[in-house]
Amino acid sequence: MTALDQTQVKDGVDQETVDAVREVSTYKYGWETEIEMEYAPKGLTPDIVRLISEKNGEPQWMTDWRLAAYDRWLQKEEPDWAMVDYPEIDFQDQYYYARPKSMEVKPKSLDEVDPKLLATYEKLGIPLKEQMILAGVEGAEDAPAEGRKVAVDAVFDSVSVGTTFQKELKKAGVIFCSISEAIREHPELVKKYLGSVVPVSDNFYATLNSAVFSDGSFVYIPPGVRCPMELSTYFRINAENTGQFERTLIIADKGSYVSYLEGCTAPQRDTSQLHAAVVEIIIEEDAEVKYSTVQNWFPGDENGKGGIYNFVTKRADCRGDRAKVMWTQVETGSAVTWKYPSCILRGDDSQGEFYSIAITNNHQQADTGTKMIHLGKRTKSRIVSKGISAGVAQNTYRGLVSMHPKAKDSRNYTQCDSLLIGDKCGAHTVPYIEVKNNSSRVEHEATTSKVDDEQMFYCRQRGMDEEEAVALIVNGFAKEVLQALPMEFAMEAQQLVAISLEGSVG
Amino acid sequence: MLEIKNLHVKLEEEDKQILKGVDLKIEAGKVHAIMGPNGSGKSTLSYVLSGRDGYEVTDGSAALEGDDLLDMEPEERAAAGLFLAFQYPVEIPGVGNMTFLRTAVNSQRKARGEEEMSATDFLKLIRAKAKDLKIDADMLKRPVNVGFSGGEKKRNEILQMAMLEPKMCILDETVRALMWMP
Repeated sequence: MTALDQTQVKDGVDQETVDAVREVSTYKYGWETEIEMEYAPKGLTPDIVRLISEKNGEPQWMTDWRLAAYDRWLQKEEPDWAMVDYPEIDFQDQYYYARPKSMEVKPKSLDEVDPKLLATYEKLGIPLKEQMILAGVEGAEDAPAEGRKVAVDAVFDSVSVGTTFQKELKKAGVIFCSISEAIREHPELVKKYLGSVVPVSDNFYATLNSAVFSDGSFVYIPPGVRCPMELSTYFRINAENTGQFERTLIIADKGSYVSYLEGCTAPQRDTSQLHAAVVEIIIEEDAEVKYSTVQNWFPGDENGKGGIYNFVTKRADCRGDRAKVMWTQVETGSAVTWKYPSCILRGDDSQGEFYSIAITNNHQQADTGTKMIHLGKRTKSRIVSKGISAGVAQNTYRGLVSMHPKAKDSRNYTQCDSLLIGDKCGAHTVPYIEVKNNSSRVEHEATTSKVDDEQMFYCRQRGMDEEEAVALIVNGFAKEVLQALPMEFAMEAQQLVAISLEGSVG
Repeated sequence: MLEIKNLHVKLEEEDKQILKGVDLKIEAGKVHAIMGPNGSGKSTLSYVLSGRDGYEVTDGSAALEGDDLLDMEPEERAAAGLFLAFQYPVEIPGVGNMTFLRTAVNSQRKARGEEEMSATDFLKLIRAKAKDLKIDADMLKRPVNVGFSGGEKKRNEILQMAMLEPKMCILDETVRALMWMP
């Protein structure tokens, strides 16, 4: 917090107070883990692609798949239609692979994992609760910690550090592991589904990801199984000048159900870092997937220096009839966000929902939204987007609702609300609507408002300071989306909303 | 309790003097009424005392129990014990009445260096106060003033007052411009 460092501390203010203020007003996850790392050489070449594949111990078909993606990537151009502005990225000046040295030999269980890595996740507040169980706390396995259990796959730079509760999930038939493990252990599933929702050549960043993705999570829920706990992946970028390219593949077989959460943070640095992820979800007949994201990558400092470039392709394919998917995202981090979690509603009566809160403060830019592609009959989709801008930030909702000729009697409802704090930020709504049959209905509502002076004064007269008041009003504004989050994370998200907007008033 | 001396107030944006030398001394435990025709500055006085933006004090002073009110932020005045029941209570969509009140109560406690009230204690207290005021549980859950009838809004102001236990209340047009002290 440079601003604070330069401030002359008034007499009578003790160091403890100064530290406390510094603690709350900085990006909480900006620290770095000092750990010996192993890097692939900088730059991107076929040799680097082969090296990543080799490090992951992949079979030949996977290496070939990556190399084909690399060839396609060379022919693609970086998209420039989004309302974001950033200096040109030198793709040869990045590391594409970084892993802690201690991960060279894959740990067989969590207690073989480097304590430094475990400590990192502990400090991040990630429930690696199985740690306790592995440490031999008797009966801990039977006592559900705080009600519900959450299984975690922890990804550190390019590798998965470990996955908790794997055994217990296995009993239910659920596969939850890192994608590199899935490629080795379940090649038939990976071969069948990888790239089937987001094709290799889908877009510039997805193609890049296909060539160089290093790790991520893999989930398979067998037919008729309701996943016994929440699954989550926690992504941490630690190494400098290193891109993180994770790949997540979730398959919900017929009649199954899973709720999945991802969280992300990165250290505070002056230089920007690239993050280009791909998430593919396949939902078969009568299955349901809830995917929630709390994205809190380092947003850059208050002058716009540093921060993560977050270019992400996420898509769910409702393949079977009556399949359901729900995307919920709370986007508070990153310097630049380019992200459109989408739903392909292929099965008849399938449903897609998208709930989003995007907060941009200081110099952050976000261009985010969704695509609802209605292919099946009587398909339904609902979009609720809440954009909040403060400082000199720009926030764009960009969405497509497309009703294909065969998608008879389908429906969409879209609600886009923007809230402005201060008079130097911007909010933009760019909805695209295509309707190619005459029995479907599309509704779109959009509002833009400012944090009202009357509301602020009312809150302050009741005793809240300006930041508490803004946090309260904004949380109220975003309530419909916060309610869509799993309970465990709703509280965290609420606090995150408040933290992200600190310093935005006064 | 409250002492206003020679208070002169003009609008910040335009050259319009509204209060031209108000003197008022209010003693604890007494109810005072300020009456006057529309536009005579009753609301302005309540806003200036509670610290709303848009007014400029050109002369005079106002002190609550000897502390200079005009030098404080609105939330500091609230923590010092000043409460304004609004003529038109403000709607805050999406924020539950209970959440709002709990945040307010704890903000004031924090500002006074007291401990925050626990969720259970708060719940007990608000239920008791709501019962006294014949406010049903449903109203506590609804978003602050959103869709409230005129009467509900006023009752909600009184509930807030009861919860915050201020020293000095200004009721702007609540019961025909009454100023009183509990």
